[in-house]
Amino acid sequence: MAGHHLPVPFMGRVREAGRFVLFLRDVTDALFPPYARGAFFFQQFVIIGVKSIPIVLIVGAFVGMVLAVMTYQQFSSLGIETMMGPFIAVPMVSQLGPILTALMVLCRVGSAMTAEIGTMRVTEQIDALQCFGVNPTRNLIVPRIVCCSLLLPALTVLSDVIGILGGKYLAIHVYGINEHYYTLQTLKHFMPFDIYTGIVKAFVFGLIISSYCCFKGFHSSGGATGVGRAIMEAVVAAFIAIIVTNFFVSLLASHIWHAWFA
Amino acid sequence: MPGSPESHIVFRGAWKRFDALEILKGVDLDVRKGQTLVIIGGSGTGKSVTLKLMIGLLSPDAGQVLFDGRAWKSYAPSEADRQRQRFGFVFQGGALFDSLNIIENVAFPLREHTRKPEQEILAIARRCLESVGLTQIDHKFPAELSGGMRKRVSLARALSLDPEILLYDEPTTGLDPINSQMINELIERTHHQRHVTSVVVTHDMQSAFYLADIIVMLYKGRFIFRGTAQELKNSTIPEVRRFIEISYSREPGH
Repeated sequence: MAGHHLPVPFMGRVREAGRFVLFLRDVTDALFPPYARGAFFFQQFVIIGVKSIPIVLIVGAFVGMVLAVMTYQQFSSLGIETMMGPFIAVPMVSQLGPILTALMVLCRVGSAMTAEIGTMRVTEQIDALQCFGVNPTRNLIVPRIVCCSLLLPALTVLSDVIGILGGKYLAIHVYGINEHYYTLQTLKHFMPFDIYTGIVKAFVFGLIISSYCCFKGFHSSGGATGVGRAIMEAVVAAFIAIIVTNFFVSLLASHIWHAWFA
Repeated sequence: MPGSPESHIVFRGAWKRFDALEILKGVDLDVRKGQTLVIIGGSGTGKSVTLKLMIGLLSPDAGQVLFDGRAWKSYAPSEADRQRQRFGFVFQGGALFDSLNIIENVAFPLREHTRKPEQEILAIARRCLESVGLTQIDHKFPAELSGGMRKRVSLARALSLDPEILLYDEPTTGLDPINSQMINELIERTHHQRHVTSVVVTHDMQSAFYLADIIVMLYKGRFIFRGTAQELKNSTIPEVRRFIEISYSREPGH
């Protein structure tokens, strides 16, 4: 068989990709009625959404403020400090907000998803669910994927808002820039399209994080070592996927902007 | 004869492999209603895989596994879920749900599949726990229990839906001799009181001889022996003799 002559790691990746596609098919099937219990969704809503708010706010605020520091450093030498606003708001909304929020959720929630589902797998709790006629994809996986994909855009918007406010606070109260001109310039160059791009990215990142982290947990094997390895592989792969996807979505958004709005 | 009317579960030329590793190589097996079948064999020979094929958690790569005369793969997913409710599965490590306390674990199948009032569900769950000799542990969590207690809770949970078939995966592994014998007696008592079909996977020969109506031995992907406990003791098959001798030589006092 031709496949036997291909390098083992390559065949392993192909198999893994195949398993991931089948996993996504099962998730899609399980999305439709009868749905998982509302309690499962509520539990994930709290874990992924509510409990992530403090860390998202802290990181968002400091990223906005550091953007203000860096922008002021460059713009003050050129005497265009009032132009700082859009240079904080646009990257915050279209790049840093979605990416940093996604990475925070990946570390905080994605790794926990792999760990929890992986432990359930290696201790046969998932098999036990199936023995009781409970579909583990519907009850364990779907609530996580749905909640993560829908809540990441909401968390991103929170991060954007607090980041923009953090940058504005520093610009006005620390660097003494005129608030009227700062706001005017921000509104002039800041487009709703940037917000839409960020939200779409956040949704896609949410899908990537939840589906891949759940997948790695669901297919864990080999006890505690296996679960540890699954977490590491899930976080690294999702991290890379977020960065790469961000580039392609940004490129696509740029083409759409030039084709339809410019 | 495989597939006779009193057969609950039948394997017909079932093959199972994981990646390059062939676990089962075209095995035939017949589990009769009301009997206790014990599957023995070394670690990694596919005993647990055989149990998971029986309940339809795994599918054979070739051949068939029939439950009540129908191949598992011919059941629609929802129907397969309903059929699985006729089984009770006692997992090797218990497989209790970490996030639920003991009474919630035992009540879980009842909450999922019956519309009984909560008080009745809790009463049934307590009766199941009492039947395995456990009381006063309702609000403990699985991590707070010993290995033997976890297995007994797992059996109580398996009994909650009043199953027709009980599958035990290494029920005495990791237990001291007293707890092992307690579990053996529990399996025996449950079998006779509830008139269930039992399948026990073990490499503990004491358990096998104590429990079995029929013993089969899995070796290198095939069943190389089928017979009663006495026939096993008298077997001249070299692999069977070697397995029994090594099992006994590893026990304390030998």
